[in-house]
Amino acid sequence: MLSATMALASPNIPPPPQSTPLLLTGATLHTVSGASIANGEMLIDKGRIVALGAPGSAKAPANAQRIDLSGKHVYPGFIAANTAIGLAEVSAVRATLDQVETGPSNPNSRALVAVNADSEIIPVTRANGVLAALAVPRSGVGGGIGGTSALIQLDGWTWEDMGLVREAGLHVILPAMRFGTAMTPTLSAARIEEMQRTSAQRLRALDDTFDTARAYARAAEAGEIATPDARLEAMRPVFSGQRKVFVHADDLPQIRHALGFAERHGVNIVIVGGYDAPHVAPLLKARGIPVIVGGVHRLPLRRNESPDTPNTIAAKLHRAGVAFAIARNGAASDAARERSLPFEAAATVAYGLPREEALKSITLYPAQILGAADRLGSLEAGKLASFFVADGDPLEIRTNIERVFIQGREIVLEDKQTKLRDKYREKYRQLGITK
Amino acid sequence: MQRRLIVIGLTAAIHWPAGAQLSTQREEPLRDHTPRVHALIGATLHIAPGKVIANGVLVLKDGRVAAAGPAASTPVPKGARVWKLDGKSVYAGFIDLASSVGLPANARARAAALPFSPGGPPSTPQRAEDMKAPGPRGLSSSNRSVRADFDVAANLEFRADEVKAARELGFTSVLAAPQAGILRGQSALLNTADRPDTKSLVVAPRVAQHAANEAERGFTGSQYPNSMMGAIALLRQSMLDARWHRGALEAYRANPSLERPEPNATLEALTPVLLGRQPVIYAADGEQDFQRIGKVRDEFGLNVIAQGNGYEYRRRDHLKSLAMPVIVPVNFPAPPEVETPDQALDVQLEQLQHWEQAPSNPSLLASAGIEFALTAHGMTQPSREFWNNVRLAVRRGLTADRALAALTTTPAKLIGLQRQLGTLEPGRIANVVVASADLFATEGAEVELAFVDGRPHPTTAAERIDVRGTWRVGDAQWSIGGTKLQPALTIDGAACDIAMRGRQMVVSIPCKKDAAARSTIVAELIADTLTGSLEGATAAPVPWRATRIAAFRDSARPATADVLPAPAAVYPAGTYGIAPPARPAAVLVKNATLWTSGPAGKLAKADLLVRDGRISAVGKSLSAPGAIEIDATGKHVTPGLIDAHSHTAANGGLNESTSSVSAEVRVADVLDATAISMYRQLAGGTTAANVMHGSANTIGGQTQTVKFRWGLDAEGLKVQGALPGIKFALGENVKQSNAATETTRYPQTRMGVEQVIRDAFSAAKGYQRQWADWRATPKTPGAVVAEPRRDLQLEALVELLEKKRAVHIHSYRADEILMFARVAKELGIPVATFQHVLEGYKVADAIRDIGAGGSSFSDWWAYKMEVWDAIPWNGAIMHNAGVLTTFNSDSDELARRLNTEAAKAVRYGNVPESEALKFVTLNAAKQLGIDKQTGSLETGKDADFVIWSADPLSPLARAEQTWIDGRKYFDLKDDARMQDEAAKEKARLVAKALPARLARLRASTVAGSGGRGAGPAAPEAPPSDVRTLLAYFAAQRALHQLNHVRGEYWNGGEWLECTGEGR
Repeated sequence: MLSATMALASPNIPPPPQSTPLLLTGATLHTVSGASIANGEMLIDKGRIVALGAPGSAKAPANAQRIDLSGKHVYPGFIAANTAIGLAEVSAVRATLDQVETGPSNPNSRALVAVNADSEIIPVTRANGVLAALAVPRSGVGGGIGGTSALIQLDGWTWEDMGLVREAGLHVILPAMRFGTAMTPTLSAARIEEMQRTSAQRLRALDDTFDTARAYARAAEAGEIATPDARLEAMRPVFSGQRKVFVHADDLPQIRHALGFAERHGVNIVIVGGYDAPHVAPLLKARGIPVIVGGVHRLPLRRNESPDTPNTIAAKLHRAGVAFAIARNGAASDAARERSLPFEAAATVAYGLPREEALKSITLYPAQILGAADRLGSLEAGKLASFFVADGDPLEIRTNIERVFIQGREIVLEDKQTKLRDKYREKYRQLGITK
Repeated sequence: MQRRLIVIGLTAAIHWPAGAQLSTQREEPLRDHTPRVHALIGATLHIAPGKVIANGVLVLKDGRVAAAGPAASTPVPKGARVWKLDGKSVYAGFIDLASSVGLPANARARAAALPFSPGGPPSTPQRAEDMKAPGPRGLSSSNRSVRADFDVAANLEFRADEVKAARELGFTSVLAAPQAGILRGQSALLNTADRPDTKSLVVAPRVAQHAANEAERGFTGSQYPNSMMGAIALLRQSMLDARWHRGALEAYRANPSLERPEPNATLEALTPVLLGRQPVIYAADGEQDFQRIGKVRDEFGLNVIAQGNGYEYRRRDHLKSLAMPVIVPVNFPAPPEVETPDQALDVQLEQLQHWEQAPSNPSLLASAGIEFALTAHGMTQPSREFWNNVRLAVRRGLTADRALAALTTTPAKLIGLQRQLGTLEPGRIANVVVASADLFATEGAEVELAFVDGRPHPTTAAERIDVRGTWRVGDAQWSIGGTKLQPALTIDGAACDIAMRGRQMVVSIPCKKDAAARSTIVAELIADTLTGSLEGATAAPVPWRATRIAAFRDSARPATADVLPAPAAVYPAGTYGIAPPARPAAVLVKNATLWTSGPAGKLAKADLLVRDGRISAVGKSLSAPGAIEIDATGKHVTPGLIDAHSHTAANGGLNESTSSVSAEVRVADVLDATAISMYRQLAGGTTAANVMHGSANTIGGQTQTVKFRWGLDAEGLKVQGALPGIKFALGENVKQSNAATETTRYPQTRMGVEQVIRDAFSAAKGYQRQWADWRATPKTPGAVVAEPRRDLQLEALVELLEKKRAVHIHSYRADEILMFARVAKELGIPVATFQHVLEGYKVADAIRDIGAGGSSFSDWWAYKMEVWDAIPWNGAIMHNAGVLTTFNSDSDELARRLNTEAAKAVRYGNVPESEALKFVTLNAAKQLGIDKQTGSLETGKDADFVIWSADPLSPLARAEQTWIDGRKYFDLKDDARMQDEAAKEKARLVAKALPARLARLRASTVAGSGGRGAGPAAPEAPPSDVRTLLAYFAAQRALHQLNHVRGEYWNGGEWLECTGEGR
């Protein structure tokens, strides 16, 4: 039986706010935060989870609509913690790209306001259970300050509807810092030195910006700023501790630099990328710095390393007690591939990360790191009812995601790609090639 | 043997006078009549390697050696200028066969030519002005890389400092070897005398043709070729053209009524090369180039001497089998950057191993029985490094005789001048080197005097006096030690201020620093006497004199042999290098879930029996006594995965992007057996791949099907019997739609793309007809008839017309796929696959109708406009419509997990699991024409299989063992062991390199230069042109993405993460 909600819904049209309580029954509820509940019951109202538990445990109101999900599995929506979603469409077409502002210093850029709610990538991505994404502003070549990211849910009329954490973190992208002969076997010494110098200049400029911004923040507190400066104003929350700095740092020199940077400027940081983070895991743990692992499906950085090095990063961080999440590399060209996020997480399991940790690494953990654990990341009473229904383990490629709910509203799983699929399946039926 | 005879023949053909006196140079008064008779006495004469005379006499007369023998039996002619050389060592003048002395600027190494491999010459990125010279001239080839007619002897430009620098090392003869281009021109052997008349310095012009697989780099502004495979193709075509041109001219001379062939100086200059009369000195870029050079040599019957790069020892068995002599540099690498843990982490084991082994290279080559000459080529500071490095090579086991031969008799013989040069036997050119001591054994020994054409040329070393020794000074005795340049003297426990000023020694006394009254001794050394004066600040000078009563004896530790164990017989160097794996007679895999990809489907609890590398049985409860048994209970076994679209394992660029049609270039020429990506893919169960040209042009290059036989060399990777392929491309890449700047290369539209294809095949058909006509024409016996010119580009297209080759065409949009399907049908050319084919689902019927396959990404989309309509159901829809479908990688990363790509055909379209697995096994084998050999677990096929920890369509599975041809190339257990061993080996080498590295850093700090990787740049450094640099980063990144800059021992991942994007 189609619900009233569903009858109203059409592809790519955001449904209205949940008006009728829903009671899901029969499914295994994978809460993520706690034990899974076989044949569980989950009551949803006004976009939030009201209660969940064994059959009959939820006191469903009389008007609650019941959805029988016997044999199915319910999971909290996946969270893609490092993406260009909403900011990039076709990576080869400049006109569709809004992720990288010009110049090295753009702390005042706000990703949220550039999120294209009608991006065709959004419905394609949520069809695989990815229901929230961090839209990350980046810097151009050579590193710098990209701007402030936004955690968005993958449904809404406008970016205002979509914003879950409107200003999630300030993103600092470190320049390349490895210039040894291993990386540059055919370059001249003069060229290498020039690159080293440029890199060092960028790092000094970054420090200078933060020093200036801290002084500005103090002056602003004291009411001494006559004319606000757009860039420095945008950095004030960093010094008041309200906003974390997400430092994009992959290799060891960058990560060491990030640690020193946090110390020097007294700011809270999150490492994004973190390829070499296992090398300094005890330092990260001691200082409580989380890592958003920037991709599992990536190549080893070094010829010497084991082929499985990228697959083992998360497991090593987990064993060392470092807080982490698994994401992808976040470049514009990657936006269209965010739908494969669960398979990135899955690719750590055969390499030492417990399966339940792999699941947390794309649900609860990113919610915690991004400051949204009160609303996302697990099936718990009080959290947003943003979840999906699958016919099996969603880390498995062959599992189908059957239904998706965002804030209690069921989203019809149709998109640009399914329309093309259905159109051309019809062609071969007409030609008599297929039935 | 034949090759040797040819060289000797060359010698006989050279008639130029050796001396400079037989000259037509007009002389003006006063004429020079300096007698040219010299007698060198008292020295140790090294007449030839192994032939030494202690206390000998060497007589030089009129530019030649007149006599050489023991003092007792060799009279010193009256009137000879006598050189008393007690304690000195005398050698025949050394010969450097890879010199830049005398080269004009346009024959020197081009800054534009980036080396492909670490062994290549140092370089800087291309600059526009470097790309200009030299242009086509007169009768020469219009391609600036083909300059076979360039004659160094006719274009000499001497730089006095270069001549002197070579001579001071002892090189009295150098081969001025052109260093730019592919066929670089002809070298001249020069004597390094200071003479105004350049002709008199030329011992022999046109000694050798010089060649290299050198490409112009970059995508815009470069001329054909800009890839290594393009360079080899051009060299091959040039040789064919030279052969054809010769025949055509001959025919025209016999029959002037024929159409007149063009005169072509470049091609004519290759005649002696083709006839084997002139050797080719072929510079190798990287250790694998020797194999490529050997193949070109054999294809055209050339007489080749390789110019090496220091990595020869890694391929010494191969070099030995080629019987190809090598010119070997001694520019041993500096210690790698290991001073911080981060740097040590980045340094590759292979680099450390090479740092350690490089000085053993000459010794290893000698032991392998390879003929080689030594050169100072490639050194940044030869005056400091050359002899130290030669002596280091000797300490590493190279015998002094062999080292001497490599600098004298061997180079002389290689260029056929062994009767003029190389020994001190009477009649040879009077090129002689006098050294302070045995150059090959004594640390600090240096060249003090060189005779060139019998004329003495003292070196700077001779001008520096040596005051060390024990002196009688009045009643006192002084003992002067230290070094020649910085002598040390201690008197009464105080170190004296002692300095050398030209031939004078200056000492301040007394040596105690607190002495009030000071005096200075200024004295000149004459034989063993120091004569001068003692001067006080106010007192008048008084005569001062000292006599040396004992020579200086160096108490420094004498040089000791330091022979290292030969490097392990594994390939490639570095982590994971292995010896070729053994092939057990029989292997039985028991109790596995077998995904056969064959008619048997998926078998539970089944066995796989392998005998002699082939699958011998598939079934239940097999037994094979004596077989190696693998218990695979709970495991899954699949055929080795096959990647129908790969760019793995090739060197020097995979796009010959300078032209729209480059059918002549061959991936087969540039395979790279060091590509770590192969090992990584084995770890993901991938065993075979279609290595393709890129998609920069409509008609790209010829593909090569390989198996990842890790541990073998490039030839060992090739799959015999595969369907030959060629890469075509359509759409945005060939239109250059996404180029950073607007381009004008034809075509710019999909309309133009079709016309490029039709035009090429129209030409190919004409070519095919031309040859058919010629073959059909009756040949009159005795008549001179010229064959048509062979055109390798059109030949490849004719192979398509004759169905001996098939097309793999990069394509995205339905319109272009349909266009090519129709054109291919019309032309009758076989299409193996449409590659990418992301809109294949829209026109699957057209693909199926021409019998083509579809090889697709599983779920990529939206990275450019032409993939906006890509859908992940593409594979399933094509498959259901009857198209032979595969999922491929086009990526060294994705290629490691093709099994889970196959799973996406299940997710998106419900393709049955066994059929889905065929997307990366049997179907790919069919597309590559290797399904008779591999692609499924069926009796009789190659034993290419993978043992998985779990269901291979699950991302939770991993490959535990990967087998090819019944040999195990990957095993998780071995992987862990090799990691462990490599870590230990690396730790050992880092510990060994660290002191050397730190010493070097200290030295460079003293010298005032930071040196590479010497730490953060000085803050006061002037700001660099950041914009230029950033543009450069971006360009390099683009090149990387197009797989353009890969050399040997490529780190396999990011080339430079300059973008901060971590990719």
